[in-house]
Amino acid sequence: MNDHLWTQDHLEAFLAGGLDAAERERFELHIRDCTKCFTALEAARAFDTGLANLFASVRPSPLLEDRTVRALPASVTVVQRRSRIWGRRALMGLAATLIIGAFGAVTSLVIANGGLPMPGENFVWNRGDESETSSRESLLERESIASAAIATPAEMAEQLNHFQSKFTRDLQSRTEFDANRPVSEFTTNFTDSTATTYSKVPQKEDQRRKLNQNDWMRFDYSPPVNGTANSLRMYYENSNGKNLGYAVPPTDGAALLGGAMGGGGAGRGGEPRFGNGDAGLGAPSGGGLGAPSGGPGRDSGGAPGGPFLGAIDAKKSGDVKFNLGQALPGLASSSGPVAFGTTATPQNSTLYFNPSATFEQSGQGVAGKDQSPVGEEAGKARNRLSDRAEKESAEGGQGQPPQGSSPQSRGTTAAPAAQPPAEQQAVRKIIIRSGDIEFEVDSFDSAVATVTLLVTKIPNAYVGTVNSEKLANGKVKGSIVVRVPPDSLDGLVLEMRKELGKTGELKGQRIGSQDITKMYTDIESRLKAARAMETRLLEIIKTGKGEIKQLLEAEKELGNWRTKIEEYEGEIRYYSNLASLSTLTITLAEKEIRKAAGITESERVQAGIEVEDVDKAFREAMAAVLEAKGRVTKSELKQLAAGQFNAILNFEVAPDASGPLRDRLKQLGRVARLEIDRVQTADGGPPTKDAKITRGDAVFQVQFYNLANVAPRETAVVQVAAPDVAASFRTLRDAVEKAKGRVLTASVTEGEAINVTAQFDFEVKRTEEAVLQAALAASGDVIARTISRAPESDSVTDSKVLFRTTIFNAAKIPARETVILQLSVADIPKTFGSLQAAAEKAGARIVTAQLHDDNGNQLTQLDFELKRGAEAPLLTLFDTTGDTVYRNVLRASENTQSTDTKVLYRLSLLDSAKMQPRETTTIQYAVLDIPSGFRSLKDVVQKAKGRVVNSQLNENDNLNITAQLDFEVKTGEDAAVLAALNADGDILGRQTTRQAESRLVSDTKVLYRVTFANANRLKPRETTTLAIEVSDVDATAAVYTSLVKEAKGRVVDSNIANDRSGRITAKLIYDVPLASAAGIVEKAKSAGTVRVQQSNRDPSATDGKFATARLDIVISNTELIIPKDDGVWPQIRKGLATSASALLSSLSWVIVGLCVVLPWMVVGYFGYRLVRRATKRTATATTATTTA
Amino acid sequence: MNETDTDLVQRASTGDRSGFEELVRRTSRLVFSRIYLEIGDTHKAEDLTQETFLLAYRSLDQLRNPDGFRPWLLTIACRVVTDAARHDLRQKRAAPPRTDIELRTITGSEQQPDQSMERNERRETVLAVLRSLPDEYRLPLTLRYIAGADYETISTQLGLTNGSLRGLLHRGLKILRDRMPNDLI
Repeated sequence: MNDHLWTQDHLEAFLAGGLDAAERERFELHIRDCTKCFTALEAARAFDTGLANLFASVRPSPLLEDRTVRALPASVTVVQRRSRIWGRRALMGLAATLIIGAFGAVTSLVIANGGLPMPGENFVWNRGDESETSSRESLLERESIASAAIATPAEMAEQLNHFQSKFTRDLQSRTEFDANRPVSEFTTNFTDSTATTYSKVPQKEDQRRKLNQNDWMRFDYSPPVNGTANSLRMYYENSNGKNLGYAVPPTDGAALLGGAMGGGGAGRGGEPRFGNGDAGLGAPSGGGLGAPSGGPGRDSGGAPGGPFLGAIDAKKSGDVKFNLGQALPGLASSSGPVAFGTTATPQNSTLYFNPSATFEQSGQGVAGKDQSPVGEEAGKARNRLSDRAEKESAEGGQGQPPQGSSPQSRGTTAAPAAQPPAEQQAVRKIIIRSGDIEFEVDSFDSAVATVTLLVTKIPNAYVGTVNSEKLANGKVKGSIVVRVPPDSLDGLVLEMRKELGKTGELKGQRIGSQDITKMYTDIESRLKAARAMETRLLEIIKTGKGEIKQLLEAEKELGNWRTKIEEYEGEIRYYSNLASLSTLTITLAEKEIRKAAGITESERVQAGIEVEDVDKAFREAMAAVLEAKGRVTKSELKQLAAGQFNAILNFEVAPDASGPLRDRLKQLGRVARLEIDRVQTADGGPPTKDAKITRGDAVFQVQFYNLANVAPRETAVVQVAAPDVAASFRTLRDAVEKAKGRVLTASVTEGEAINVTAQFDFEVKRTEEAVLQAALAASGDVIARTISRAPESDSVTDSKVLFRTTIFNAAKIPARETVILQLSVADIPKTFGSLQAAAEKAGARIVTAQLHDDNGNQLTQLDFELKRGAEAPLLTLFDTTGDTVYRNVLRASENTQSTDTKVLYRLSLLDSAKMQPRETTTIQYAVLDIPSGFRSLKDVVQKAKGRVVNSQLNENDNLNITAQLDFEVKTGEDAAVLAALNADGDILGRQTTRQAESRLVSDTKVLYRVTFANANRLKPRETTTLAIEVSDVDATAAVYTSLVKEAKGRVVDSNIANDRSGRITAKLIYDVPLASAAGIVEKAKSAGTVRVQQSNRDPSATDGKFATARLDIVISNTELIIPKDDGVWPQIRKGLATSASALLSSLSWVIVGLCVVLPWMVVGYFGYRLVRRATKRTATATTATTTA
Repeated sequence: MNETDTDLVQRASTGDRSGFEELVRRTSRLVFSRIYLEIGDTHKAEDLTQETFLLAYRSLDQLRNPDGFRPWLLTIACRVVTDAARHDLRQKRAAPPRTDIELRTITGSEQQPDQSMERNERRETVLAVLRSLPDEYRLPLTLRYIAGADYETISTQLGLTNGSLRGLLHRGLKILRDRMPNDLI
């Protein structure tokens, strides 16, 4: 390579500083000479520099390596850091959960305790509490007020601010109030101060509390509040202030002041509103004081304030008001209106409500001192007001005080305060006083004397009227009208109470007064006007100007006016009279004025008498009355259609004759009803305890009647069952006749013997009742007896009894007890005959007797009725003739018509051979020899009088003989059979079934079904498999066989096989008795080496005396020609087996891997991916932090 | 400088931090260049470089062949860049980017905006050409111009011998010049 090419190739390396010193020298040398290379170098350099400059600003900082190194984790392993991060996150999560949970718990607790009121609750409460608040208050305001209830000082200030700003707005909307500078200034200041910072709130609160105290001084009625309630109070005051504030409609200064004072409310109503500062207080109060003379409260706005404060004043004592009213005139005259205006200070306003003395003092003391701006304002207003008032009074003329023309100011109790400050006003009070007083006195006359004496003492008083009235009982009552001067009225009343109170008692008192000042003044005004008119008219007439017609009209008018003047004067006189003398009406009544004069006691006797002969008794009674000098007031004797007599006798006798006459009446007949009333009649007024009693005549009202048509009260309905109805009927009839009873119905219905009935109704006297009862009992069997008593009344009598008797055949009545019997008998017809004969012999009435024989199926029914007590012989007969299969005794319920004197037997007979045994026992029976066992069992059954039902013996196959024997034996006899069975063979199985109880099965016998089985063919109980290696197989087999024979065993199979390999195998099967099996096995085992021993027991096989054990013995010789496990094939087999087992093991491991390890690996892999991603992000974050 | 990269890798993988630090110093500009080529933003490239080394340090034990440290590192860088791009995309989708508006509104002291813009465009063009170069030429050139490395640093960073670097530089620059628009530089 020449230099040129080399240089071309290393231009870049040179520029990059990649050449060593030698190369550089070589390069520079060439460059110096070769222009081409130089140009190339320059181009490359320009390119290089350009590129370098281009990327200069984006180059990494030289500290890149250091920063990267610093960002590397120091020694903390990633895992640790990650866990720490996660731990911190978990901790933070836990903390957040705890904090949120705690906050939630606390909040819910607070809410549950009502500590955190919901907005809705407050709203309701607030609305209830503030029923008087203005409707102008919006809902928003209410809510804000509600929140003020729980407000902290800061919130309270906010509330205050809210209201203040609202008021300020209201104020500023009224130009009149803008003139009232201090008020608006204050309000603005206050608003500003609360708006700027709440830290001044305590100070504000203090200020407010002071103000509240001021208010409290004024409003005595309002309860003092303290502590936290202050805020509420503040609100209320504001609320009041707002209402009243709206109430002041200052159309001009005078109106404002008039409204304030005249209403008495508007002025004060302004206080709470402006009362946030002392300066504000002065304005309305001071103005208010100046108001009385003017008070032209034309304002409509005075109205809301007026009633409110009127109510307050009414609650207060009236002293303040009156004092003020009296004090005001003095003040007005002394200091004048201007002085009032200038004394408008808070002190003054406070004293406004205090007694007059204080008021005057402070008013004079402060007058002119306090020249507050408000005072000046009010003073100006006052000036205007007084000017106007003077004008008005000039118009009114005659020194008439200008009435407070505001209806509010006059209408309310603040009226006195609004009275003009003129002295005539006191005179003008025209009041009519009158009174009523009521006394109860001992003596009317002495009381009148006392009153007269008292009245005459008083000058100008006189007794007007005295009225008195004497009552029937000698008591006097009356009234006195007294006229006294009003001033003496109270004194007179007091005196009278004192004097009359000594002997009498004050019952009532009323002193009233009616203020007619207004009416009076009105009339006076009208009178004055009329007089003025009269004067004017007179002048017109006197001057005589005008035409005649006009003069005449004037005269006419004058006449009218004079009439009016007369009217007014009359009215004035009338009122003057009323007002000058009070009227007192004294009502006097003597004590016990309603006392009765006397009492009359009279006796009234009402009697009802049952008699045999009414006419006779009536006459006798009349005679007795006449004898007793009585007076018959009514007598009546009636005979009715059914032979019934009825007589009424009313009479009066002297009281002393009443008793004997009553006794006399009792002798006439039976007194069924007697009422004696004693009546006391008071003669005028209520009876008193010690009134005189006089006895009046006794009044008798007696009724006589016979019993012919009177129904008996007691009715006995009797049912008699008699064997012979007709005979019983006759007996009964004779008895009734004998007892002199009255037969109502008697009928006998004769039909066939069983259906004969008789009806016999009769009445007998009560005395004969027992006799008839006995006769009834004798006539037959009394089955039912119903005795009913009608309620007591006039139309029934108790002196006789009605019997309604029904007699019927006794056979017709069913027996109450029915016995249903089933007998199983051997011979039905014979037994039937004998039983029927026995029943007839015992006196039974046979109802049904039926014997139906249909080809051996016999049906019998024998029903008979038997007298109770006669059934004993029959019962014994039943027991002897057969077995009682079924017995059912039924008793009908007691209220059915049945008799207990007889018993109905319903008897049916059953063939005893056709009864099935209830109990069936199936037996599996093993015997060694079946035929002989079968026969012996049959013998045993016959011996036990059993009935063989089925017997079957099959000997066709000698090896397989079967037999079956079914037989019935009596219940007691089966023990012998069972014993025989146990003796000859073995009962392998036994199964006993009992059928459900029914009529066709009998418990008297038992059915046995015996199935025979060969004892030798039973299944072995135990099977023992033995494999034994012996030296000599044949000999050992022989030994075994002999052992089995010896134990009475059986050789089942014996097989000896010789193999080509020299192996001899003997397969021996024996059945041996179970008991000796164990011994044989032991012996067999001792014969050689036991290779296999296995023993099973068959639980289903018998365990009895024919139990066997099966021995399955395989004997083989020990020595073989070829060893067993040698050879190629076994080895191959062994290898294959090993391989297969190994293969299976690995297969199981593969399955485990697929099903267990693989899923976990997948889970682990994804977990790892997640963790790695998380850590990577954390690491990035850390790096960023470090770099930053 | 006596130790070879392989020795350093072995040292670092045994937990020796200083070894890895040395490796960082030898390869950080390379990684930076590689990342800058991909994303074209210096600050971000620096951040990603740091992240790459962090990742590498953490997973150094996974490096089977200490000789292949550089390719391995560059693979990691690639992955980091991809991840970052993905992450940015997600961020963009999820929320408006936490903009650096305030930074942008501050007037740059060095250049006028139009100049800066022009430069940016030119840089983009150069970068585009660089990206089109075969990898073997690209890296030395990037190291040279973007990372501002001198010749020795380049050979250190790339782990190349002197001669091979010369050839690479020469041929690379030649291709670059050929492919570069004429009036660019």
